[in-house]
Amino acid sequence: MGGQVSKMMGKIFGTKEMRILMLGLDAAGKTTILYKLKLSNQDVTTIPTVGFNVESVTYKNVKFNVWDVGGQDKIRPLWRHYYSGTQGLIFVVDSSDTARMEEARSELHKIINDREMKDALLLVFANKQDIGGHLSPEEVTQQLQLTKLKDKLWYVAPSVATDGTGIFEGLAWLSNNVKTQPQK
Amino acid sequence: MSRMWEVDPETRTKLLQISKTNGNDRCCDCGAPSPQWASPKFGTFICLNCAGTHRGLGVHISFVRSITMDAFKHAEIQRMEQGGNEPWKAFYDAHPVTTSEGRTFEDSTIKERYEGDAGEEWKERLSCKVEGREYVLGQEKKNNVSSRSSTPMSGSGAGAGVGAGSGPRTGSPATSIRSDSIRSGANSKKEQNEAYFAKLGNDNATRSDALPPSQGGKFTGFGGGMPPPSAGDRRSSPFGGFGGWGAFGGGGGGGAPGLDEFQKDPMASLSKGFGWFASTVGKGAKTVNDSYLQPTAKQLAESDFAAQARVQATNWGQNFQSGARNAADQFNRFVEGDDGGHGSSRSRVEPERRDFWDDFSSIGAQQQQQQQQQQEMSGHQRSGSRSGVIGTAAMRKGPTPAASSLSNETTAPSGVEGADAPTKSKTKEKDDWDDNW
Repeated sequence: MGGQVSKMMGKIFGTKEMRILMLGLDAAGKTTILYKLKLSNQDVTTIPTVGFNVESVTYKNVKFNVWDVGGQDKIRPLWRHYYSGTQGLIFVVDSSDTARMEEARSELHKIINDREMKDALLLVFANKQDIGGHLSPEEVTQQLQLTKLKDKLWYVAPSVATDGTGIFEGLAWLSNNVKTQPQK
Repeated sequence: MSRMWEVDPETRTKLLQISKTNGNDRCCDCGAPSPQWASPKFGTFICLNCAGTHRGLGVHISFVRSITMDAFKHAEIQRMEQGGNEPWKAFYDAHPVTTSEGRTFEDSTIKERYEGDAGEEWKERLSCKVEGREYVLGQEKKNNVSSRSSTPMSGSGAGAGVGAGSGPRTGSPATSIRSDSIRSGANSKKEQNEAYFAKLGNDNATRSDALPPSQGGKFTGFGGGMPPPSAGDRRSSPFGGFGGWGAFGGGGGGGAPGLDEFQKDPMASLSKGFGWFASTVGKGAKTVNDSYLQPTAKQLAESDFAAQARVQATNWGQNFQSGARNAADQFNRFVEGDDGGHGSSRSRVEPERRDFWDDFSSIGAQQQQQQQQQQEMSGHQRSGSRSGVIGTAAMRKGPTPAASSLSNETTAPSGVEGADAPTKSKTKEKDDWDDNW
């Protein structure tokens, strides 16, 4: 009952809840981003995600329920089971891993072409901007062929997950744009 | 559809074989038994925890693959075969850089082991073996220059120059090149390089202007009328860098041989030096870009964020109003349980995961152990520990439209190995797999 009351208050005072799915190739930095969001002023060390992590983070009146799913080759087919009800997709790219940009592009397009993801906002983190030889957000945009997308709201945010740079800017974009999506 | 989860059988068998050799049955870095992860760049097997550390180094240092959940390329398998934990440890311990620093594999950190010159050389040697090339020391050095765009400066230029022209030297040229590399350390460490070159610049600055370099005088740049390099100002004066290199050639190699070379064949030495000088200028430009232009871009991005924050603030105001105005409307929707739409995925995913783990029963013990470790770790990370529970518990609450369409799966209690739930769901999942993957 208490939970219901607080939910009602949330409705009245305009807090929103948003289901976010965070995907990307292995070692892109998904788990680091998730825990940097959750524990913003702590150092985060992660291990490869086998399965998934989920955390809820409240930022600017929006409660983000963020699902972070492992990105190893053979567990990518599991991603689609997390699609339904997703309002925002965060796709994390290792900007320094230029050799696998094409792989990232193909995975991303597979996800957003899915019927269940057609209404989801797309936020791309061009992560690991601190590592030498990284691609700029513009280059990442180009490599992922985001400009080709029709009827899709997308945004590319540069980030350095290990020190938290750029992550909250990305969330700000999500929270600003979520209301333009049709509410189900 | 279990094949979806497996590395193809041939690769699997091969990896299994390899993992029994070369001390690969224990984690290369911490000794944990039966490691399930690998770093094909080094040809080593590592455990889940060390895999986490490796990934933190970046893919240019160590690219981590799961033995069970990732596809291996043919070349990667070969590297695993040609590498091995024990050979790599032995190589590291015997490497001049390691010995001269008085370290061993055991008391080095993972970062030190893999980021340093020993690691670079090991990787290059492995590549040579796999590609059937002959390993050439200078070759590796040159490769480094092109492969590491971020490296502002390095011993690599000097290494190429000294190595190529080391004919008259009686001592081991390899050793003296190493001694150079030690001080520049891991080439990616810009500060170390800067300190190194500043030191060389200082050494050079104390030399006499009156004497020619061959007699211990100052190394000044060539090119007509350049002022003598100021100590520690490497970036703005690449000539200082050149002088520094000259100082190294004279000092690091024990004096006479390096200078001999200079006297015997001045043109060759100069042209070598000039090639290096040109690359230094290029690198200098890169450094300027890194340290001046990019921060500016960052500032721009930040100011953009400030603008966004203002927009957000105004939005919030409107939001509040509309929230109040629509309160009745929203209340209705709330009562009707509209919220539930968020998550059917918990129930849908659960059988899937169980299936996944069943398929991995061959390595079950290890995996379970790892999973436990992971859970312990994530439990630790969620210090508040409520959050994870909230997410998943909320997901299960109430019937949802999507869940009802998959009603044969929703009954499975989460976290318990239900005997029949997975089998029931399997039939459904099979169809799905075939359609889409």
